[in-house]
Amino acid sequence: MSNARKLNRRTFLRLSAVTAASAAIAACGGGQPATAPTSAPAAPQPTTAPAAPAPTTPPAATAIPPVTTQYKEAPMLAKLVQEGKLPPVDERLPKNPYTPPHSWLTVGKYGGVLKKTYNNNWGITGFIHEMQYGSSPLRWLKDGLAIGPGFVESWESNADASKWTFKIREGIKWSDGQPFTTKDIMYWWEYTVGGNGKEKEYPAGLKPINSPPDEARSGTGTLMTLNAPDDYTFEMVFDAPAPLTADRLAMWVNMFIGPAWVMPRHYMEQFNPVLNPDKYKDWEEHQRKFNHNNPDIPRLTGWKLDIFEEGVRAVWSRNPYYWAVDKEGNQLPYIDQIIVTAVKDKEIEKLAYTEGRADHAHFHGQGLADVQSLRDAESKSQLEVRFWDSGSGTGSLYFFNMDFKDPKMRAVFRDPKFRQALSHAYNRADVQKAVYFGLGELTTGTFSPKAIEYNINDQGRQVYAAWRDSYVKYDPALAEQILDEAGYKKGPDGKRTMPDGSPLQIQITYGADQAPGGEHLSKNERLARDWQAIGLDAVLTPIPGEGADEKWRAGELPMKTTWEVGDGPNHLVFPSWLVADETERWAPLHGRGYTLRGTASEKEELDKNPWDRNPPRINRGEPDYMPAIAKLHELFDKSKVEPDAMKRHQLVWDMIKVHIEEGPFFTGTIANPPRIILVKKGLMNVPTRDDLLKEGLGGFVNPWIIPSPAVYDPETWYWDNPDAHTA
Amino acid sequence: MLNFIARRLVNMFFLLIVVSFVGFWIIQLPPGSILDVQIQRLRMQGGNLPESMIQALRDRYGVDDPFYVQYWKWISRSLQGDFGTSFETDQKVAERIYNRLGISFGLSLTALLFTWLVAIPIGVYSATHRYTWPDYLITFVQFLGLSIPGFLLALILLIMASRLWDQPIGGLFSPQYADAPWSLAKLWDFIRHVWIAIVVLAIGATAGLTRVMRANLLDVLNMQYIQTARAKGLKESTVIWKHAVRNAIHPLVMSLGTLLPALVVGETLIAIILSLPTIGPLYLDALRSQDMYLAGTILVMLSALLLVGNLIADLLLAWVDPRVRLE
Amino acid sequence: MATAAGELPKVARGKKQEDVGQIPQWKLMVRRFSQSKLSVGALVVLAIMYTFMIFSDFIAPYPHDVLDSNNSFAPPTQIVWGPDGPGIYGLKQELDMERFQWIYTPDTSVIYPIRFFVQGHEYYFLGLFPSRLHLFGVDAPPDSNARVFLWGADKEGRDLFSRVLKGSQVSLTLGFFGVFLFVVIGSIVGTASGYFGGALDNLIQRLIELIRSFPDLPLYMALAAALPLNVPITVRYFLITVIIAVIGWTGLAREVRGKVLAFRSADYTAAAIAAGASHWHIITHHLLPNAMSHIVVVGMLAIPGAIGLETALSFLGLGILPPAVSWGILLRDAQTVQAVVTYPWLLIPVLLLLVTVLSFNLLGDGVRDAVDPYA
Repeated sequence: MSNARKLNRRTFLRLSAVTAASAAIAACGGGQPATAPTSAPAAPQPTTAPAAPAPTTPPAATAIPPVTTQYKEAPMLAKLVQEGKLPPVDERLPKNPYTPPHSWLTVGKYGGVLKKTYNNNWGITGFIHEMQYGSSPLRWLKDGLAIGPGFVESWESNADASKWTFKIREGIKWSDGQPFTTKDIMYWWEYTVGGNGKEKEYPAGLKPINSPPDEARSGTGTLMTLNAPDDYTFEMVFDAPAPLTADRLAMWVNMFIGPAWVMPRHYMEQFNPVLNPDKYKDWEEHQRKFNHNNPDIPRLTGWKLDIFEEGVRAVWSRNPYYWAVDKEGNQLPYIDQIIVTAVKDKEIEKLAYTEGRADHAHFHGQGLADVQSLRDAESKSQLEVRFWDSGSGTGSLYFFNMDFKDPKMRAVFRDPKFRQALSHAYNRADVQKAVYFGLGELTTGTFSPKAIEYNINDQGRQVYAAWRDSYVKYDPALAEQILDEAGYKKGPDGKRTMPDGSPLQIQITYGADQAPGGEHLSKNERLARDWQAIGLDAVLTPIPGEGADEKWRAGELPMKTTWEVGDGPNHLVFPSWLVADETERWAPLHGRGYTLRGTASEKEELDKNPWDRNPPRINRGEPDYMPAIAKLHELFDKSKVEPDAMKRHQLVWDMIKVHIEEGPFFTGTIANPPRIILVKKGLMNVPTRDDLLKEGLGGFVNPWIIPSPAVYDPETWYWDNPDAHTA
Repeated sequence: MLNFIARRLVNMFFLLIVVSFVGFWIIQLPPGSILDVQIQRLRMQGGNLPESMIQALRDRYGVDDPFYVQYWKWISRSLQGDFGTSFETDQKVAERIYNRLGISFGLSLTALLFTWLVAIPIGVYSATHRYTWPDYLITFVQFLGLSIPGFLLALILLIMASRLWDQPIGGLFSPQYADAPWSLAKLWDFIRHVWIAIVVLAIGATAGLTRVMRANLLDVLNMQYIQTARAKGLKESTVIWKHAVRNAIHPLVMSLGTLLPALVVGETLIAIILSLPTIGPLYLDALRSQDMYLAGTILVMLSALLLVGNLIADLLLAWVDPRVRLE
Repeated sequence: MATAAGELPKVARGKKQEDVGQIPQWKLMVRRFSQSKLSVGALVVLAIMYTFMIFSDFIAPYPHDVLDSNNSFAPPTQIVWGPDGPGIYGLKQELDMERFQWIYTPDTSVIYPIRFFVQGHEYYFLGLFPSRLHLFGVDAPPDSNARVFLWGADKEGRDLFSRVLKGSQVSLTLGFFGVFLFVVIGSIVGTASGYFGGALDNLIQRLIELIRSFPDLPLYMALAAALPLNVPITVRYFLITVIIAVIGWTGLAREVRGKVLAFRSADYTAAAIAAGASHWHIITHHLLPNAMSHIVVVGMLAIPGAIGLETALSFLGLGILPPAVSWGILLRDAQTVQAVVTYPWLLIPVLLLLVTVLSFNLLGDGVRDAVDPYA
């Protein structure tokens, strides 16, 4: 082991001299000062070169014969090339490799290990996959304000956005060296996605395992045709405009998170029950192999999984075929290895951070209240606390179930006056102080303030401000007045009743596993207090998590109180908060009815009460169908086939108007509190909030569809002193 | 004797079938299914799941089947040695359990050995020296150990240890040893990772065992045969160790039966705090997410251990005490 | 060690030989119990605890659930001596924006006096009589931010002292019912199984094996999910303790059976059977008294178990849950790195829990010796 390391170092010396010079040049222009190594390296080496005033010719580089390749590579790979175990770097990279475009990037150094912890089973392989954008066709840039190329190099659509043509980079290879072509996309489409006609060829009884993703449907809901005229071109053909296609191809890191889009055909074929009917009777083995925790599967991302021990650790090492280079032509990633240790308990994970056992942490698991311990431990842990914007539109929110099963309570929840009064009775400033340390801006509850529709022009900004401020004012007297006028009068015991005089109890429901002192419980306790203060019988009601989803979908739970709205970057790619189009949010039965539109079930069980149907749902035009939701559905359907971006924004604003007039359907606390990111001192190229502000919006870490930090290319992160960060 | 064992083994098989059936029924009793967890995760990752996708998942996991169909699917394959797939990670159930079994047994056996070695002598001493200052001290310290919740003690020890020296947090090995062959250095590294668990487990167990041992011995010391032995003029140490302790140890032997399953899942909360990959947290997660095949398999495995443990206990009891008949 | 071991019990035995046959058994028990100094100490401690529990609403200066963001993590209040006797300073609250921590500095210009037997928030004494009388309170205007936190405040600015008192009402009562139930079931079934043997024994043993194989956690989950939303949290938890008892007796039953098996073949039992004594007589006069010490030890050791179980179930979202308060809940608040490192007063409930459990253990130990007074 140590022997190999020495050999590596020799190659490393040569290379770092080259990169060091460029780092110095980049440092002058890029504004990121080169930091001297914090702990003394074992041997003097040119890593300190950046500190020297702009060396014109690196001394070491002249001593070594000039490199004949166009691109440069990590020493560990160069060694393998010398030994003949790996083709030269030029052959491994595509004709036109991807170069991360961010303004804060400096040219880095190869080597070192990044240590991470994660507090669930999924995380040790899933989250690291989430950090890597390599399998996404397109990429979000500038916190979602723009879209750039991914493995797709260029793309175009016809005038009404019903036909899209994509060119992928020629010469990309999977991490096992096999070429990546459109065949790998067609394999995914034909064998794992249902509805495209291919399943007719399947042996009897075998069904496709996935249904088509959003981007495979046009605005009217019909499925696309996917063609691959050659190895590097694919086309999506729709029967109607599909204007959001590019946005949707940028969403998710893909492969294992979000719609797959790519599958290593040469590897997956051997487990395919259609191709191997004698060996496999179902998709189980295929599905088992197509998992982010399978070390054998070839990948397109910067690191590939070497070892996965469930509940213990995962080890990732650089993908020698990763198809990206820095601006000097050095193949990415810089860091050799990522070692993830599983930590089961969140508190223990915090301990690991205050003790400095990890080199980087994304916001999951730590909140603002942890800053104190993290800052106090900074000199020991060497972990710097950075703040990126969450992009949340609500902070901790609450919303009532518009489709609550009990008709009397449902009528109360559906009464806009009732919801408006409760919003005015809510002392948000107290929650802002107690939970968010006074940060963020008070809000009635909107989509992310970073959404394109709020930032495109002045009208957008006005729409945002109008929604934000609609019912935000803390005014218990006004709340009492609204309730009195709407008929919710106080009874003899001082408790408000329903307009017909029957008792009115609001159960503030939340999962029983909510941590005491956490933001949602803190908020809920204050919510109960504020509502009790205006005479409402509000009761905190923890409920067991098991089966809660099913109960919600059937309208058996009155409230959800532990989420937040963080979605963007535009309202339409993830519209569920705005329009009832699924079953988890404020109108589950309407949402179910919407997803089942055009299917046979729209005509079935019509004689039954919507709550007794299987599944429970409300169809268009029925007596229980809310007029406000009808209006929203109508506007939404129009927006889906509108190729003109500006007109789409207008439709979104119209929908927001419904939310202001007949809302609030969901009620927030504060907008855009910061999230904390931990970065080890000496880990370079991790942007600060200022870097992100220069280029985008200051960070936008909440939504999963803008995969953060994958959008900031962790493959470009490097150690200023790699030798001090070995396993 | 052989006849007895054979009969018990046959009994055991049928009981296990009953247990697996009842257990499977209870596991699926709480509302919801593994699908909720899956959907929640997919939604988190992939936004809206169309109805057809959810249906595809329902088909794949068979959650719409009545529970006896699910049970039959699982048990018929299990009898052939295929315990199915864990829905949570898409790994084979057998693989997930096997990966954790060794460490579970290893940890618990070490703690158990430690416990018995410490508890029996201390219990004897405490019983024979009742109401003396050493007895008070032993009693007090032991109850203190018994009174601290294990997971809190584990947390505090972990915080202290990581502040005082370079205590590893999480995992079983440091990265540099994880893939290295066994050596003294690797063993030391392993001990550094697990010592807190062993200490916490042993502290809790020792206290309980010592008290039981003390109580039993006090009972036995009143027996006439002890007085007879004393009257015969036997050495006090022979009276205590040969006559009294041997008889006082019965209940401890009886408790062996329950010990085997406890060895495997007894350390759940401590294992969670210390991030040890043992069966306990796996079982808990499987139950909570209704990962049916995984939970069912662990359940049957635990029952089998319990039954085998009881059998061993009965045999041991007959061996320790000839008065007990095996019928 | 072995020779010394022989001396001491003899001395102890010699002392009581004179009257041991003449005085009633309960007197012997009291005498034996009072011999154990640790147990007597534990009894005193528990007596104090329960007294505090009974008067908890009267002693607590504040309600346990009033949120106060002006006193988040306020440290224990410093008591000063003012012109009117003991008093406190008001607190100034500032936010350290670098570290996200509230900093408190006492405003020493005014001393607010602590008064005794004051009127405060309303409560129901023992759940029966409404009252506003409190042992003590601070005489301060509402805007002074002068509140007396004997044991500091938690994250929501709630008085920890008041919360501990309130929590004792749950923690010192609820779990014991389950323990009692399981001890009764366990000893009856265990005795029957060991004494009658044969087919009954076989049946009971198989039943025990079956019950022990039940996954109890999903049972609790199913129960918790099946209860309607408006069932109060404490009732919910009470039902769970009953279930725990109903499936928890098996271990004790097996142990009692082992004991009874051994004593059944003893000479005096054989003599009793030969003399024609009824089963009931043999069980109550010859077998149960012998097994009693073991039952008591197991029962007493189960009390800390019951308290621990409350904590563990709270941890899983199945036990007592906020907004209700119990020591398990307070323990959960304390079970964070931040509490251990920065806000150590949150660990006070841990200390109390420790003392309580320890006292129950020591008490049980004393009782164990006492129920067997002829030893």
